[in-house]
Amino acid sequence: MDIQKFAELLDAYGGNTARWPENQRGDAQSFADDNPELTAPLVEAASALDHMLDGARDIPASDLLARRILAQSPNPFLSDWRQAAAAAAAVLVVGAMGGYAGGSLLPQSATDSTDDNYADVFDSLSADWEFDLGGGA
Amino acid sequence: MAKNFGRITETKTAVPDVDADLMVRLARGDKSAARTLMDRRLPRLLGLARRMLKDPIEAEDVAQETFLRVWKAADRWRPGEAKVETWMSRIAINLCYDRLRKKRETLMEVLPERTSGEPSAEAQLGESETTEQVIAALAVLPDRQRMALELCHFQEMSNIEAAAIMDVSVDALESLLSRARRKLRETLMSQSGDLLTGFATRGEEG
Repeated sequence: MDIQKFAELLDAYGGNTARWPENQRGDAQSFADDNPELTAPLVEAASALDHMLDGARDIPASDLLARRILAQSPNPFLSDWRQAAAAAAAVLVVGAMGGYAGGSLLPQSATDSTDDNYADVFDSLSADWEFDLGGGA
Repeated sequence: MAKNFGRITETKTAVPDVDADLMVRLARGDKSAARTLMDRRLPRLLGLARRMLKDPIEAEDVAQETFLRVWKAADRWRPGEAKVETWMSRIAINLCYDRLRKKRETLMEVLPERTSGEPSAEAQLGESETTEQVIAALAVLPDRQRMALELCHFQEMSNIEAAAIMDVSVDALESLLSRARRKLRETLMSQSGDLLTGFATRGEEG
């Protein structure tokens, strides 16, 4: 390790050894310990840039984006497609059974006279209308 | 643990995955786990996408798509395979990479070359002036320099990992990093008084 190599590494990876290539850290450490007057100004400059960059690491999100993301998050009871499929199947079965049972409970009559009674109600209407029209003339 | 020298500091240490429990709860459909994970990771993902894509709207799309993929894969996630934060960053990086590649292909059909991007007007919204200056300085870097810096500095990947992702040699990666940092130094150091004051003020407020 010499000052040129040290400066090259600092130039590329900055002032945090965590970002340096693992196989260079030990040598760089020893070189810096032995030559603080040479390395300190370079480290300081590199660290200043790191500090600026770190200030732009996070960007706050808008409420709208947060809501959009949360709206897509898994549902408590349908988090698994198998659960979703089972739930859908259960709905279909219950619906079919309910329909069958409900149909069998309806009153059935072969001589249902409801329609005839309903039609009879209107038989006298034409006469009433004739009376009203005549009275208003 | 490496010892410190000069002002160089070692900050990268092995820490447990603080998000692991959230993933287990997410798989059960726990909405509060979803919110916690989002609160914890969204700003960093948004920063990543914004720096790489230079466009705030596209960055939001990538952040949303990243979380959507996490939601969908929550029940298949297994502890110990990869840290959740790292996994999410990889998803976002891949999404950004795809968009950059498509954009480059489109631009090459229309324009001979484009080496820099201008931050849009929306870029000014909701971000501090100091952050915006750094983002703007990053935005004018060529894509590959910006990508190298993103992987090594912001994502703290090793040089070998970053070189593999970018499909370049370690030497080429170092060259990209050096050029990127040199350019940033030129741009930002001329504004360094304002920038450092801005960060210091924000630190005191925070």
